[in-house]
Amino acid sequence: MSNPVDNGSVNNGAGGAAPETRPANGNDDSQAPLVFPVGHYMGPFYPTRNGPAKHHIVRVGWKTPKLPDEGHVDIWALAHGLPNRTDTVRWTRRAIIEAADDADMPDAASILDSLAGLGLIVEVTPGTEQAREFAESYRLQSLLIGLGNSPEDPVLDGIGLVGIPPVVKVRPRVFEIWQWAHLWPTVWAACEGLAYVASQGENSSPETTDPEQVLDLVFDAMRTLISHNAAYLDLTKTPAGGAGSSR
Amino acid sequence: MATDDDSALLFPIGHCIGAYYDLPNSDDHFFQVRVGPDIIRLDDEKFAVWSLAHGIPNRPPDQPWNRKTVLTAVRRAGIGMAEQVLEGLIKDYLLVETTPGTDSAVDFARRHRLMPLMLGLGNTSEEPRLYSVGMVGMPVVSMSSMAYDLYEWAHMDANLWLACQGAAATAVRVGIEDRLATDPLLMLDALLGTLHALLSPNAAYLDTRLAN
Repeated sequence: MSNPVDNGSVNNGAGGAAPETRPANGNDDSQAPLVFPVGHYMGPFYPTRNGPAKHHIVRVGWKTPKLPDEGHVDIWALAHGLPNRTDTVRWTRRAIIEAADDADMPDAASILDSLAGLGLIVEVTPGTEQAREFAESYRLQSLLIGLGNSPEDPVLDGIGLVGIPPVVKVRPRVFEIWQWAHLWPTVWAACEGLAYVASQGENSSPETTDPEQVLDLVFDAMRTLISHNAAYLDLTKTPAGGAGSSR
Repeated sequence: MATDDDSALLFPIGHCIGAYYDLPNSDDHFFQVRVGPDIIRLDDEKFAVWSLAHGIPNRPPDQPWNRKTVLTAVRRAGIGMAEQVLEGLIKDYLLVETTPGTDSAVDFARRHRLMPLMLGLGNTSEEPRLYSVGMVGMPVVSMSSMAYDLYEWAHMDANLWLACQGAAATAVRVGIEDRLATDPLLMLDALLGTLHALLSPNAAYLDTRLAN
């Protein structure tokens, strides 16, 4: 998977490019659904030596929908979010299309439709009944290892690999979601579980003990983690080898 | 299960959560590893031994990573009380020994899951038989299509043995004749023999099985 706009650069949360903000552009985008990519990227498939790639593969549940061309690969990569924008820009269809335009990627709107049809992106509006349906249909799977905090910066926890700078540094609540959410079968079950755990501790507040409010935090955490490939969204598990399994 | 048999391989269990420093500008700290729903705290020595049990990058591929070779690496790293620390980690279920080709390997596989920590980067037109995993633009480990298949799918099953059985059944169904792909025992043995290549760069980790 290429990341032609961000070039895969590491954002360790300690600086980097200034967040980009965009002026209002026509219709209000503040209530538009957020777009998240779905699936674990499994790379290009070259069936023959010195031949072209047939497609790129993504595992989603027990299936492997294909990204048929580089255009789909690029827009699916963009759907993860650009770390230097997603702190300030809601990552909606419009944001993705604008980012694609900036990078001279054509046909972003139609490719987003195609990705939605393939189940490779999901659109969700926080604070709505549909957000709950989303949370009950997907799970968050973590990648990479925890690097922990440091005496110089005890507030932020690093996520990455041994021997290189952290891929991303995150606040404790985001780190908690990265550390634990994948142990629950759905995002919603994770919200309920994390809310319950918080309710047993001292200094609890509705922000941390109400599953609905935890879900709002999870949406923010998901963007941070997914945009750095420190996690991905998957479908809720179904029994092994079910109908249509690609295994 | 501890054993003195050199053929038994030593595997680390758990997902590295990292260092925890409680106070600014203080060196007081510990390391955390998650195993299933439990967090285990490790001091510097235990964490170093647990980390070395993953393997080391310059290890010859045919050198088995067992108790003996891990202890040698631990002593070279200047860590004292190597055997006691290693025994403690086995007792705490952060290290597990198993011997490929024996019933203990199947028991091991039934008790654990193989969890991927990186992206699949697919194969290349230059070498379509080899698949790699890593981060975007950064291949870390290359492997056969069979190992890549397990990397992609094994964590979807409740345990590693079910994953091998499922992968073998699929290979039979699609007409593959290679016994390494159709016999779950042979597949498991091959995986265990090369698993440290995935564990040492943290491309994957072993966790406890799921209940179902």
